[in-house]
Amino acid sequence: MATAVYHGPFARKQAERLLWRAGFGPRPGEVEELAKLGVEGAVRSLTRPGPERLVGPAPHDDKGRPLAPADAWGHDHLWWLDRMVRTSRPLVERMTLVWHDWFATSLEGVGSQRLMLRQNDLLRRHALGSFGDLLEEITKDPAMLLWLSGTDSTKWAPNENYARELMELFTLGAGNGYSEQDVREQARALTGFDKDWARGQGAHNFRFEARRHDTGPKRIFGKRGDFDWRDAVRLCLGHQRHPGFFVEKLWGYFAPGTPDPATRRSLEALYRKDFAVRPVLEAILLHPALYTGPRMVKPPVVYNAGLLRGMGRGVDTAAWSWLSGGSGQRLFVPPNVAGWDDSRWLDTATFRGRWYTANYATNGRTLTDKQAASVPADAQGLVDAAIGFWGAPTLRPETRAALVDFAQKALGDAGSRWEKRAYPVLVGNALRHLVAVSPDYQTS
Amino acid sequence: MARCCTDFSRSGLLRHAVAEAGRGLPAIEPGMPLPAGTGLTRRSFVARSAGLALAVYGGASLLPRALEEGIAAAAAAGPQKVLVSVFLEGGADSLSLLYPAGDPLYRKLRPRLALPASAGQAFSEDDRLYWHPSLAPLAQLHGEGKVSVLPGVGYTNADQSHFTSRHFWEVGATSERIQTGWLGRYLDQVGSADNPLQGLSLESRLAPSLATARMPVSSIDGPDRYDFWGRGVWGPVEARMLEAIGALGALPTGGDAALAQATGAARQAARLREQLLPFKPAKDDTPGFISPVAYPGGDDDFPRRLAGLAAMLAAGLPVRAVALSAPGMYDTHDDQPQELADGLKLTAASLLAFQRDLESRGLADRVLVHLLVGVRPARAGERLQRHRPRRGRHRLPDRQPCPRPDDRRVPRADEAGRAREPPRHLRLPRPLRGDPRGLARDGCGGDHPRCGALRAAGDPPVIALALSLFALAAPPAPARLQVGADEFRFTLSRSTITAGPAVIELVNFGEDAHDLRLRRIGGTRTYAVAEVEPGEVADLETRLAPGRFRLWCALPGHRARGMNASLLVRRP
Repeated sequence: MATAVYHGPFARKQAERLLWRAGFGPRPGEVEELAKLGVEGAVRSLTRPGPERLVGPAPHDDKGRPLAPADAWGHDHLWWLDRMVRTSRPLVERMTLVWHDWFATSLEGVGSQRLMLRQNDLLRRHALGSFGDLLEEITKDPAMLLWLSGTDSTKWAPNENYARELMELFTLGAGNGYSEQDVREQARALTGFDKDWARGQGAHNFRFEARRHDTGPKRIFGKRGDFDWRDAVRLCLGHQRHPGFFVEKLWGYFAPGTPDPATRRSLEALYRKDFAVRPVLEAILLHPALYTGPRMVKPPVVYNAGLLRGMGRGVDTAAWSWLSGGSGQRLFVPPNVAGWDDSRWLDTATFRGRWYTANYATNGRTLTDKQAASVPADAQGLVDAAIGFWGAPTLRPETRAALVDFAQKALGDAGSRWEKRAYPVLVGNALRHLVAVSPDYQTS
Repeated sequence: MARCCTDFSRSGLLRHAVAEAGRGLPAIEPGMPLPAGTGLTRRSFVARSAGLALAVYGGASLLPRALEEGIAAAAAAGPQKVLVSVFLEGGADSLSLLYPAGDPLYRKLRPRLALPASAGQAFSEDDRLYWHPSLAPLAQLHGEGKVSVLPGVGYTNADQSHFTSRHFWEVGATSERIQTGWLGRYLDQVGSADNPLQGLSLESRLAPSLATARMPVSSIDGPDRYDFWGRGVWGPVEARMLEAIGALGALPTGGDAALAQATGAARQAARLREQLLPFKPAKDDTPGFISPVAYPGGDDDFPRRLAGLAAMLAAGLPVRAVALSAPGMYDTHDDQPQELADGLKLTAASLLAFQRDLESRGLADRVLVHLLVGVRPARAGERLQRHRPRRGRHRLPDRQPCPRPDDRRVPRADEAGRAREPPRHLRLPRPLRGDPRGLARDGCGGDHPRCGALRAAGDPPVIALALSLFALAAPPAPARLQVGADEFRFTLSRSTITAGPAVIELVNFGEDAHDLRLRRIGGTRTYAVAEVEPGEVADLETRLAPGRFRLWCALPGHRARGMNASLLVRRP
């Protein structure tokens, strides 16, 4: 049974939503280009992009120096944000972000930006590939081995951290088809990883060391065998509850709620074949729920990258890393191994974080009275200009009306000749902030 | 970065607890006080809530019923009452706070942490227990009949998932399905639809215990720090802009949940800003309020937040439930007794100041403080430690940023506030962006010294000229090195860097303060990166000559315990 496919109109509105859900928002002109392709062509252009090209100015810090992602605090975040802003393969970056949330590993536990970047590269390599390969690779990834105590787990003292999250968060879901006994047995199967440590260099030479591995028989999910770490991964993939968990979790990153039972079954069937991500992803991105269903709040880093893409700005300040943290999403530092809570991105504190993200995005491009002559004098024109500043995102008529209302009132406060000349500039700057924090722009 | 606890640790205690679980928690271990409310009726709990009632929940996790009692008590107390929930993150438990000095098992299991009877005051309700010496202020309040203690509370059939356990006690029920916090559900019952201040998370993020299903709640760092400003916007236009945030929050949502979340955030932000206007700093960093009592100093946010809260309550702001975290991480790892003591001390001293503040403002009978302690299952100890919040780093900008005496916090809002485009001299002048040959013709005369030198060496002069201009336009990027510190070692992001300009950055991933010194072997000059607190960063911009450098931490004892490393600085 095939998954339902969207057959409605594929115009500006649908293309814009797809670019935000499956990427980081449009650059100027991209919505129109995508809309020409039709829904299937548009989805394919995202899931099967050509080689990566980075388009736009190279990133640098506030002093104009190149980024040092492995050697400077916050530059890891900036480096990835830049990639999100400049990439020609937005879905690859978006899926890398999905995997970062799925296998959430934090710099605060790993203590090495280099190892975090190495993991990031792994996530990107498998972004649209095989989940089986990704799961195997992440299990022996150095940052993950440090984060969930893999190299501290030996046959003499198995550590349950990775075994538990492997099932609870990565493949099955909490309490979904496994027992505490399975956790303990999986922990034994996963023993054997080791590393060296040297003064100054820290942890290195991550490897499997047979003498640390528990070779004895284990009983996992009712099966008996002398299982090792590859078996642990294979058993999870082969678990009958895994495909359901996988498609539901993946769905949740692109469409709100859960797929209906029929959709879920067809996605599971698609996934079961060979654990490939791309076909499932294509089916989700073609599904009517994506185009006709409710909106989603943009994750903070997507919001930030999207602002910069829309206005054609590159990464030119280190402020993004702490602004993104203030908005609730500092890359490489998820709140815990369960990742970010996508259901509660916006509250009074993170709203303020987004306000200042937009505020910083306008830095250096603020309208001044020198430009007074070229600034529209009327409310409608000012609102159009502010929307255009961010790359012309679609706003609902009621939102536009609220902005026009603000502009009219503010322009109406001008009494003196000087105020009449100065206020359009101030209103133009204010409107840029208001467009960027409007409910329409915060969601897609 | 994983730490191992070879001696007795919280994990050990909890493994033991789980082994006992079949026979019924919360009999955590022999010799522990009897569980939940022993010697304390619900009536006396509520009666004491007239003052500062302190519920100490120890053991594996909370007893949901006790929380429901707390909710009931707060609700019964009428709309004027305020429940303040203070969370001690990490692994402190009732044995850390009220320790059974004479219990042989306690001494055996905590050989390094165990305190003698002489160290703390006796606990008047149970002669087996003593207050941790850092908790003297609470003992004092207890003597005044203003503190209630509920030790050793837990729940049965705990599994080992720390997410589950922590979730249980944030939601206040042993259900994995519940998405609201226990304070949030209380507000859903008694709160109002337009008052985000009713549930106040005094952190940069919303505390999960405050998550509501329907009613708005808010999270702010402090009452004096909630402001919005727009670049290139001021005067009456600014006032209109701030009003318009509320207008965006009033837009229709057509039943769309994401739009509802976005409009809700805008609406609550606008309302919160208005409610907090009286606390806006009049000037620089001076808070917009004056506390009648002295709070502990230092740069920790905890006393500042409590002081701000008392001022908000005194001003009559409609606060009903507050959640905040106490300072410190409260780990019982064997090398951390001092951190435990320091954290507890600041917590207790701040709570005493808060209580005296409330008393002097005539508010003490309205406020119930609830201190939640120690709910860490076996594995979570390591994790929570890893997830320690980095305090004070992501503060959003104030309108009039004021340099702090402590400039080690990176990145600071006021620093980042100076964010700008790269200085002109670092950007390539427009004429230089084209073909280098064109450059040579237009850009520079033949009298450039490097130009001449290179020409003499026989290089094609035009290219040489272009190179020298590039060098002028963009000076070479400095070599960069990050040194991660924890207890007690340094990890370098690279073992070799190039001589010349360099940025050496020290990041503290540990739990103690650390600094960094560098000296070339055979050299005389010592380079220093200032001491940084846990979770903070500092850097040093300098020039390094080629050679091998020694790196070490100059804090007493740290170098000897392993905080030294070496770095090769190579000739370019």
